[in-house]
Amino acid sequence: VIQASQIPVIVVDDQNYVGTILERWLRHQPDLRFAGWLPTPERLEARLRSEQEGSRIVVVADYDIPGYVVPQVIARLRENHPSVRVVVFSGDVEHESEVLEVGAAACICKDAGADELLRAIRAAAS
Amino acid sequence: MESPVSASPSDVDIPVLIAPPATLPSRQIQTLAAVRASYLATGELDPSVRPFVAQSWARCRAFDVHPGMLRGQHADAAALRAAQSRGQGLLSAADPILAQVHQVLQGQPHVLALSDEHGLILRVLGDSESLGPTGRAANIFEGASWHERDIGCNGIGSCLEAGEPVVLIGAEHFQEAYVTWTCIGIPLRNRDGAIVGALDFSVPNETVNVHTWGWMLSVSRAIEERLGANAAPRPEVHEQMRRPFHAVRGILEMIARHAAGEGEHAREIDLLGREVAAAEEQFLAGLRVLGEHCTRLEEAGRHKDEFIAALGHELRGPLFALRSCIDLLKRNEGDQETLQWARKVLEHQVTQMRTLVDELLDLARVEHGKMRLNQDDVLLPEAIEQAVQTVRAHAQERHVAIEVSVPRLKLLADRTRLVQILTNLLANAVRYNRDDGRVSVAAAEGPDHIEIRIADTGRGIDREMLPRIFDPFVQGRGERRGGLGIGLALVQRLAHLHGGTVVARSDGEGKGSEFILRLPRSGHSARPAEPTGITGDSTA
Repeated sequence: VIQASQIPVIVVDDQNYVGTILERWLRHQPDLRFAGWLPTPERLEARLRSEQEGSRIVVVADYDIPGYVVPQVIARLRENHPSVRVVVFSGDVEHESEVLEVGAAACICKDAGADELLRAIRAAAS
Repeated sequence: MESPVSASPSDVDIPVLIAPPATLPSRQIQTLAAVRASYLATGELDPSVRPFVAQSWARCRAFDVHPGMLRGQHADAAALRAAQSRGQGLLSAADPILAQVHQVLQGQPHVLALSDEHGLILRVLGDSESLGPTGRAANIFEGASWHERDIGCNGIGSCLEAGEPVVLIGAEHFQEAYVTWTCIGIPLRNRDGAIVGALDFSVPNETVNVHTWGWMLSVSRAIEERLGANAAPRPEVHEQMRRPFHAVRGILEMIARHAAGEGEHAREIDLLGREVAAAEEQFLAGLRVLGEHCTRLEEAGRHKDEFIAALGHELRGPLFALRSCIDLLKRNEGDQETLQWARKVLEHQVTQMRTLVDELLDLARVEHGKMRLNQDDVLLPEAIEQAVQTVRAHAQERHVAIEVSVPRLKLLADRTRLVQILTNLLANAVRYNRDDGRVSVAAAEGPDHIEIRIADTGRGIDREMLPRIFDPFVQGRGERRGGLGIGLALVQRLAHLHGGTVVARSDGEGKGSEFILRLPRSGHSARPAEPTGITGDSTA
């Protein structure tokens, strides 16, 4: 059941197991909702439009997506959808300053585990 | 002839030299005038070239024709080996680019020759008919020296002599016919501006247009860029190493002043001075070779660092999956659905890691000549179907359609390795495609080979990246290529091992890419191809 108060979380990562893992992490969070996985940012804008207007959407995106320069994607997303928040969930955090500069709310290392990511998602949406 | 880079005539300042027919006496202005008039009158040249020819008339000159020119007579294997060894930096810079141009021109008469700074030809590529024993360019071969050849149609000799690019419009009697070829000769310079070699591009006049010249200039620039990158001189080291020679010269000059007027001493001192100058030249040549080696080592070191970083990244993914699965299993102990899901994820990750390790080991085996093929007749559609099955799930995730239209052709191949090649190419075509994109697989039969074309509707390949697309461990800048960068390197080496080739083509960003794989047809004995390095191009 979709509750209006839940924060929709869209996952963008070229590896689909990341989507399935995050789906499970989000499954039992009452205030968060897994709103889909996308292998590339190509359909992200369309996916965002399908979400309820006014939702505090959080996009969890990998830094390394073949064929894309993710900081550029973040910058464009922030320009076109200022209310959408982006949390970069990457293999390492060496690009942290770069992604924060273009408007990401946080950069979390995949090693950090579920709790840290969930905290970052909530902080981004608040 | 289409080109990735074109130039308008105003961009290109090349003196056009019209060579006299070889059978007529040279140094006769009348002959030159007749040839020129014939060219301008017959309309054999592209009309856009004509004003160019006319304007450059003032720069035309006559050539000597070497009377001792004999086909193939002057190849000196030892001199060639020594020159190729000295010119290793030039060859490694030029080989991939020349292979790329050669691939573009397949099916057309053409000859590409690369020489060292003395005009000794180090590398020749061209169509088999032109280079064959009775071909038009039979006298262009590795080991030949330009001054032993018909200078009338020799771009290398002419451009080295002129010190600038030249276009020679040659005309001569050959095999009872009056043939006309155009040779574009371009000197190749290092970062210091010193000429280190020359490039000759010869084609029949009717296939030349003004864009060809711009294209060849861009080809030479690409070689020079690679040369600069490969052999970056270190001015401070260079200068430091020359100091002892400066000192010796200074001492000799001092002695010479003291010995002024004493004929015998002056001659000896002069001789010593020449010997010192020659020793300095040899020393500097050695230093350049050493510099090239150092640069190659540095480059290898950089690649190693890139590789370690990429390997770390590639291993983090599976580790994240393993850790997350264990964590979720702990939290949902006894939950059958979670258990099944975790098993599936773990199996997939183990397969991915095994593939990664296998590819690394395969590449190492091929590079060290330890991979052996078990070649047999293989039905192409079956191999393609097997490869498609492997990438199907990923294609479905991305809504990428894979269209296969392949006749029942038989290849002479190692089935496992063939499927590995095709899987790698298909996986790339899916990975770099747009969502809802298309991958098409087609095949056609040649006289002794089968050509398989895998095209995608993806982002295409950046022109700068294209020549390096088959280099191992190389990652693009900005956007990620993904993976370790060993898939295409392995594809190329496996294709070579089969006696085949693979070429990458792309019209640029957003225009998709195409990989053309050529492997021996069933019934033809496979002969490993020359390891020519990269064969990529960016033309349509």
